[in-house]
Amino acid sequence: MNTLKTLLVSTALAAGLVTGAAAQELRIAVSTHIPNMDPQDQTGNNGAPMLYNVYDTLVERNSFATPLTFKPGLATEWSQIEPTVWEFKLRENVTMHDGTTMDADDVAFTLNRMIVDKDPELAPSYGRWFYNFERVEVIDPSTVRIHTFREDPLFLTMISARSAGITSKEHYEALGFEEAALNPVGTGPYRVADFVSRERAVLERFEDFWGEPAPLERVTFEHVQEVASRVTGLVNGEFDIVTNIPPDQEDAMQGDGLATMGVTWPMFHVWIISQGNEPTNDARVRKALRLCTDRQAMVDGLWGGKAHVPTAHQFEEYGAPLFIEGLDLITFDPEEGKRLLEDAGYNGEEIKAQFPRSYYLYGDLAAQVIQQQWADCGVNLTLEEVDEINYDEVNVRAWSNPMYYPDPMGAMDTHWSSRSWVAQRGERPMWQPSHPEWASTYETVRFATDPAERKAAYEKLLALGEEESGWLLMYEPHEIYGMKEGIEIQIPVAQRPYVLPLRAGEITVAAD
Amino acid sequence: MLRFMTLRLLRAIATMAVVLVIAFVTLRYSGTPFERMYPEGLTPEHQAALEAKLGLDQPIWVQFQVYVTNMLQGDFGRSLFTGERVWVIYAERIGATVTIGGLALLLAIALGVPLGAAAALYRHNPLTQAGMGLAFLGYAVPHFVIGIALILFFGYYLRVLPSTGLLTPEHYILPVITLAIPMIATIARFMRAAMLDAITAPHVMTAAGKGLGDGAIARAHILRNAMIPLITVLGLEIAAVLNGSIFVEAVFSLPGVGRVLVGAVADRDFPVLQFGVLAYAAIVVAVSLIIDLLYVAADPRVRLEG
Repeated sequence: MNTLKTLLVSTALAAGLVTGAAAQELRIAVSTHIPNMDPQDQTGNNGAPMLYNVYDTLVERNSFATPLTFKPGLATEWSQIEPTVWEFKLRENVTMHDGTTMDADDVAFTLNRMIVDKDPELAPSYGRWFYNFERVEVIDPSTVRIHTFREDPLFLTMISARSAGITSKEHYEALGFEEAALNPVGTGPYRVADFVSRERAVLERFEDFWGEPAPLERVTFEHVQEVASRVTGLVNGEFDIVTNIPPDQEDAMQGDGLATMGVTWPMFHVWIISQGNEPTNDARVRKALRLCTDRQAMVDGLWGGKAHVPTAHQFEEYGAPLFIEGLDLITFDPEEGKRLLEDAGYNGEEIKAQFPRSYYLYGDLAAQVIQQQWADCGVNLTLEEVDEINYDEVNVRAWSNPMYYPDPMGAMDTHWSSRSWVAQRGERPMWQPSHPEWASTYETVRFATDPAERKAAYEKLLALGEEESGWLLMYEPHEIYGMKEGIEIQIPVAQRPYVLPLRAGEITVAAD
Repeated sequence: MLRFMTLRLLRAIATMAVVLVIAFVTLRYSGTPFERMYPEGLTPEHQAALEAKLGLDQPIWVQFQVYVTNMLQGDFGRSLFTGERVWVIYAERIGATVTIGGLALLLAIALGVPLGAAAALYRHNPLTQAGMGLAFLGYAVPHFVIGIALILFFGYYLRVLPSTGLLTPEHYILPVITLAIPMIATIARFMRAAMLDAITAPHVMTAAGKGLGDGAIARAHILRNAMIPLITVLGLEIAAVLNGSIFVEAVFSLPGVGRVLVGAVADRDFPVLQFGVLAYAAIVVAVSLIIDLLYVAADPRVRLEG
């Protein structure tokens, strides 16, 4: 059972819980911090815990519901007035953190700088989520229309992503991009009182918030890089919550007044196996490498059995009707792997793996395990930790595929589309699917408006993916939150990984 | 004196110019910042747009010309990663580094000098020998190991001292001790060696022969002669403070410039790193100038010549 589903926090207290607006402060130690707090610029795991609590979107997701459902956000009503045009009626009298009133110009400014002006800083957001968005049109101060190039079944999913969070046009025009991004202005329940790039963000309850007031008066996100320092900080009372703790450190946080929460994220740690460079440009070699990989051994050895071995490139978090039950495409069969290698004429040629330096938790250890597993199949894997990947010669690169939104495309389109870097970098890109039906099937999953048709197409796409064998799914990682007893928090299944929900009704803290 | 100062100043400017060119060229040829900026990958088109926006698509001499022109107007640029003005990044963080470093240096002098002197004067005493043994250990163990060990002991097990940040005076204790330990060891070792050299010098023997007391000999003849190498070491220790702060600030999550430098090196954040290298070089140059002046104060035989 995926731990995310269980969402167990063992610290619920029946009495003394603070759920309303009261004087409460939470100090949170995070392992990575963000350079700035622009909602479109910052798309990484490091920004997710903070941005969710500062920015609002036109339409909000019901964070804990499966399958995905929506509710009013900065827009009170919306409708699809044409296949490629959506109209939004904006909420009246929404005060932004800079004191201005949110209106259609703010919405148009925020999104058009990305989808019309194509600001290079915002390219990751555009390429990952909004490439089918054409422009935002201002009809009147409280009405906007958003045009897409094609009818988009994922429109509401995209517009409710935190990367569509709305900021203040006046603020950016007054300060310019760099300074405005360092002094964030949103409309959410918390305003940023202090931000020191990559070190600290202090959020305070925004008294003029349009919705239910934030439950906490003040929240500090402090960058504490070392695991030992985060664990110690929790144990000796410097922090209330510490994040990104590896499973082997969980025992260090067992004590009076402390609790832990394990989360298996809907995210794959992945190895890309190059379809471009020899010898992995042969599909038989790629298939063999997958067959020679014992994922369960890695999960048991590195993650104490707590990470999750995937069965296909999909997540239970989609819910019905899109999750395909009973699908199991991943096999450990070294004998078949050896046979395929022999069939392909592989004779111990070097297979070169390169990794970004210390980026993925346990990534270096996993690489050494796989090196040994592949060696048992006669594969000569070399490992290199580099600052810059050489795409013209690399065979394997470490990567992660977070489920950015609960939909089959939430981890597929955001990583394996033809627009992704993986299909574009180098003379011979690592990902160049060649099956004649790949592109058309992919189009159906992405743009068909009938969910049943999309689901069927995704099942077919996953089968084709097996033929392509361009990805090696390793596991869904498991991390620990350590916290003071009395804090009750739930991981929001409808949001992207690493979001820390601190809005009204999402966290309770026992009164001291 | 004026000639000496002028020559040294010109030499310092020339040194800084060389450092600037070397830092600029080597950084630009060390690779691009984009893999670090986008560890999940970026398309060639996106990279080209960023290079154009940041001016990194220009020939290196054009980039250098732009950098120097802006620098002479007091504009050191903005961080490629955070968009912050570079001087603001350093200005906001130098206070923490100087405070921790200054306190550590004072602690190291306060403990290292007497320890070294005692080890020389009572060199056959087991207590001073044990002290020097500990000093060697402190010298050999890296900062981050000392720091983690102190955090575990005083923060995790005893829970008597905080382990991150600089909120209260107690927060300064562990970082200052961590930074000071190797410096105490260095200063004690040099002090002991310098004292031993001085003890065996002919004029000290003569003084002893004249019947001067041990205390008077130590004060008038040994300590004064031991000052010259000690001043040199103290100058070097200021550079050591900067080096050590890189580790100490990372381990204790301190808001100092060491942490900025670590991040900038890993990220290839050119403007931040260039300013850091220049500032570091300027400090080292200034310290060496001050040491030259202190030599004169400590030993009148030293002449101020170019």
